[in-house]
Amino acid sequence: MAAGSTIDALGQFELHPVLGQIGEALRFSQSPLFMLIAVVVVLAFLYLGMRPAAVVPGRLQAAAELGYDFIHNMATETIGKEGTAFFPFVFAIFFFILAGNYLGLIPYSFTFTSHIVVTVSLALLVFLVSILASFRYQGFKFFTHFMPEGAPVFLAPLLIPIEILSFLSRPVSLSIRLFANMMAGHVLLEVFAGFTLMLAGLGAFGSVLAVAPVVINVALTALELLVGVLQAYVFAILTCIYLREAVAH
Amino acid sequence: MGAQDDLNVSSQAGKGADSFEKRLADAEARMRGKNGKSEMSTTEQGDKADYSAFGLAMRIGTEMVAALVVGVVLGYGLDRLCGTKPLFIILFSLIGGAAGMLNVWRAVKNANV
Repeated sequence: MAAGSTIDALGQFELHPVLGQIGEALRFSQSPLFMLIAVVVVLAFLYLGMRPAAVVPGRLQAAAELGYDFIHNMATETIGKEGTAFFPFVFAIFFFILAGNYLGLIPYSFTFTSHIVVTVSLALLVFLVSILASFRYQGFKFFTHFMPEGAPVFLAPLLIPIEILSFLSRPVSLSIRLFANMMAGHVLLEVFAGFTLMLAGLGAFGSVLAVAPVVINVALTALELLVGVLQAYVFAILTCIYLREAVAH
Repeated sequence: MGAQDDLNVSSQAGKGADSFEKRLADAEARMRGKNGKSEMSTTEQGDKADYSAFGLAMRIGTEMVAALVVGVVLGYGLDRLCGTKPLFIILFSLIGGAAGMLNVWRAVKNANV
């Protein structure tokens, strides 16, 4: 993508119709394609992993069981007793984001989590579920949370707007965090890959120097592997925390 | 025999949920007796340990900015709606900044780092 002396770092996020004529007619771009792939990968991982159902698990089964246990513990320990009800939701969110982040690291693929439309949709889903759960478990007592307990009444005009803004900022921070991290990582990878091409164009001396950005890119890819799982984890744990506040009291 | 009992209990639709809760509580009480640890302490530990430090660091920056962004957008929208150009945007950016601080404080409060 980086040709000649310019680096087109954002070109990788453009959406193009895929799958030829059918994709053209359906406006089907890489983003939904890779979402489908992510879903298929997660389902295949669980199905193939658990198909042997062995008492002593093989590697794939152990991985599937670890994933299940990890999220199950997260949900039940953070949310509490009601956590089991929300466990499938948290599990789906975590593995969908994780698969999206990791699929994006494969060359020629597309990172759908680097689009704010996608992350906002996910964050709004979490936000709406937590609001609905609040009404389900607390009813209209939910609104009393906007006034901190024990605060003097004359501070209410100041405290209530602050609490409401803090509440409304949840989907914003959820979505911006995931989107910004994924986009920044991929821009960095692209920029350093561009440096390599530009240096390689400078002749023999440049070709030697061009090794340096490649080394950095290797390190960045490792960092991206860490960031990918960490962002999925942060998204899932915050979902759990919001749901805990929804079901508490 | 045990399976038969389970079937009988779950087929009584009226009190199915209650009896499940009760059996769960009983089982948890039995487990507590065996392991010699209380349920409260494990959930409290879960509370404290539910962040890795790096995950928390990733959180804090955006928590602060997000509330400010919401405040500014709300203020701007209200100004456009009411025609009171600078009033609400000033008010809501201040409140947004305060809400951001509150978010950070809440995020850090429970973390054990």
